[in-house]
Amino acid sequence: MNQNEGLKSDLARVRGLGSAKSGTGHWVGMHYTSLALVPLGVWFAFSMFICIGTADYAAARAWFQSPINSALMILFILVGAHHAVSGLQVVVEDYIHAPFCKHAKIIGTRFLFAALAVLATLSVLKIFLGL
Amino acid sequence: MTSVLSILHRLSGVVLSAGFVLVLGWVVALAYGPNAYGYVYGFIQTVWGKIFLSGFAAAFFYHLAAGVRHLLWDAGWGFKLPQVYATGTVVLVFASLATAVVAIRIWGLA
Repeated sequence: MNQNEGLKSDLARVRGLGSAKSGTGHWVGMHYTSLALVPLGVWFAFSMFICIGTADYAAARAWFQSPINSALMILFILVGAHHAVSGLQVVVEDYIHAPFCKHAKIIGTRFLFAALAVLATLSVLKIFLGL
Repeated sequence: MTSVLSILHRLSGVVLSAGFVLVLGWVVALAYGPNAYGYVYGFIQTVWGKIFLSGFAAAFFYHLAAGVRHLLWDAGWGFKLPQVYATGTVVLVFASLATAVVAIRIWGLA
């Protein structure tokens, strides 16, 4: 402990030095999403690389007419976005130390992925409903 | 080997985040109409598109296998040094084989 801080209260001394008590939730979120992404990711990779990644417009739209494909795709979008945001957050926290820059990047990533995930979910619904 | 595999997991994760955004763009283009989808489809058909797809496939299969390895560690298994090296080798072999199978499909060799 720095001797020059003798006049500070105990709370002022420790504030900002330790756990923010939010790490467990992040770890559990990463754990659950990665568990879910094992089957979802395998399904998606198989579909994307083998079936629809090189499909033309009509074939790709027909693929989304299946309720199973559309449902799994929406699940993949939501779980994948959560996993990507949490993973990128760790990378940003590890390499970017300026507080403003760090929080701006974390919040910006969250907003971007949330917006894109909603947009893509609506797109899947639009194709599924044949609109 | 352990440190290289660790940083590869992180690197592939960042690459896949970018790939994920592109997939979402692909879905949105498909919903938007034939013209928008045509641009995406046209790009996938080019050599660069195929290189991108193959790269994302490699990143995906590596991240998948290394992620399962992380889940096993989280469950408390696999911390002995021989196990760490063995599972690391399994991850590399699986990622290489799966990527090769998909790459053959992407490049139309079989």
